[in-house]
Amino acid sequence: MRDSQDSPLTTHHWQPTAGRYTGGMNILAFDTCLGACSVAVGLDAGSALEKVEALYEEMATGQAERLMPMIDTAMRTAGIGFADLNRIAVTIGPGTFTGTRIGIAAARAFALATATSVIGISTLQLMAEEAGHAVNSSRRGRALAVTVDAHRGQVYAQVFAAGGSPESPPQLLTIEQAAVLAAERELIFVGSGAAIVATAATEAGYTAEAALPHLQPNAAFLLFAAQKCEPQEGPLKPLYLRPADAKPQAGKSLARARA
Amino acid sequence: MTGAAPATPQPARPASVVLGIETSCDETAAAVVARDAAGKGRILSNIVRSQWEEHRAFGGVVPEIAARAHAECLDEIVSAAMSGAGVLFEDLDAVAATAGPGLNSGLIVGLITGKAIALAHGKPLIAVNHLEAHALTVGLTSELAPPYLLLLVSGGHTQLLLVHGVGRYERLGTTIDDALGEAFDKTAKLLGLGFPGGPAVEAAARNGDPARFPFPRPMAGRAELHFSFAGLKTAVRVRAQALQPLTDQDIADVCASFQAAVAGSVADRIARAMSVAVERLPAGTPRHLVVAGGVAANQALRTALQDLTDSKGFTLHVPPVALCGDNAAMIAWAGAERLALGLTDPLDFSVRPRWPLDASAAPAIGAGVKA
Repeated sequence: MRDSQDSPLTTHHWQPTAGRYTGGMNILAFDTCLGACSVAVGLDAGSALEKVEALYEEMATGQAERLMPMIDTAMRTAGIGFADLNRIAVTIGPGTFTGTRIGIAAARAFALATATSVIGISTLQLMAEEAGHAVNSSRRGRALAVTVDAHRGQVYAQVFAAGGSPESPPQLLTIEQAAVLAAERELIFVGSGAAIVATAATEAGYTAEAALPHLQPNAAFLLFAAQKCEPQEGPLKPLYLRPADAKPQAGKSLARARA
Repeated sequence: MTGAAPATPQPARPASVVLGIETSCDETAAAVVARDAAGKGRILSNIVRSQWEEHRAFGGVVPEIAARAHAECLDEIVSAAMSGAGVLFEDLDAVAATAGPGLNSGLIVGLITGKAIALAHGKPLIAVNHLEAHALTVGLTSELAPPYLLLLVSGGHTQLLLVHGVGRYERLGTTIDDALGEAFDKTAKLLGLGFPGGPAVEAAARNGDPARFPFPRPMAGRAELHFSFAGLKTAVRVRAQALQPLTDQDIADVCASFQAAVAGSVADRIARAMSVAVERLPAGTPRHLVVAGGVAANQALRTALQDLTDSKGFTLHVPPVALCGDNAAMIAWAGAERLALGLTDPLDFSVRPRWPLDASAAPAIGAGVKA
């Protein structure tokens, strides 16, 4: 990563620091969960000359159209075929319902079609990893809360220690509930819900600040996360955090005679 | 679609094996179909998982629940279809997936899955119109080739079409309110018969008197070829409310009388459509009526249409019941038919929740996505 700035992560052809990426695997990673569509292909023949092809486009919708052409481009530019992949990595949410399913369905289909194992990482975990690289050096060493605007006055939120390990479960919270996350420790809120939650936290008397309001998941960082994890057992599950909107219908049937 | 095109000699059509994927409503389905060089079809596998259980409590299909259920199991369904067919992904000639019309969030799951398999194995993608798949199903299990008159009746659609050839459809009429399958579902719900309503109403009608209630035959006698079932639904409700509390015999009679009204209305519309078909198709074209869609399984409707075709000199064709409801064999077959004509689609293809077969047909007021 270049010198850390509080700037949105809109890297298009990002090269990792030499030596960081040493998994000895070929990995295809992608994210479609929130306000972007990103794809990364990591090649590692075991030499120091690893290669990463990363594409990132911001978009509110349209991931279902862009994802496959972007994967096609990244794979071709990287010069490998699907048979050369050792692992597929994808974000499993939380995010928009449709965006989350696009990534999961694509990953499960690739896994089936190429007999490749799959790693699923939550968007909150991935963004915590990204934020750890991106926040100012003066803020390093402080705990982060990734907060994503979930609309309807709610955020998807999770707290991470300075090293990136999770300190709370991923949750769907009201703004007020998320603000209370800062009650026990100083927090830097990051993500699309950061400003509103940090304001609420400050008003409640906690020490908090907001950073990286444009933070989005980026598949380039998924490559590292994918190397560190072992493939899950069983099928990849989406992390919706919010139930489907549906109410059982009240019975409108007519009265029947007793038999 | 303007006017009838003369039959043209078919180009050489190579044999193909196609995977089909269907997720437009509440069935998660995958199938593998082979098409030989002569254009004859063979189903190698056909897996359908219905989501009725997931939606039952809601009295109808909930889009988000449907999409979640598709995403939960589609890869396993595809896997079962591939192993059932004894085919490897590299053996496929194309991957076909329903891209519309239907529920947006479910369509996206199926189409992205099809795209991923197609991309991973370098196969062409075919984004299939679900209505076209219904329209062409008869060619998968019989020798019948277009042109023919088609009645498409399902939970989402009720249309009369002239099928001139693959990709060439002329819409003659559509419903201006409820689809016929929807009318069955609503009647079943009213009477407390459960979901899906078609089989429930048909079963209840078996011991009923179709003449007890003279329900209206909607649109009967009207010159335009549209359908309407909202008024019939209201007539059924008013009548059934007056009968409360309903005995089993009341329910059977209401169902039988409802089916008789439906059959009468549909037969009236088709009789008129037959005259239009004879006018518009080239002189001497064999007269065929094809019925497709889930409601084609209804026996009362079939009997009425058999009588009608017999009296009008038409031949009635109904695909096997398993291929009338939503399935992926028909998607794979439509894909194979389009592939044979060199019609494939790009990987950035968007789902189309509304996708009329005949884009030139004037919208019918009230038809909405059912047009």
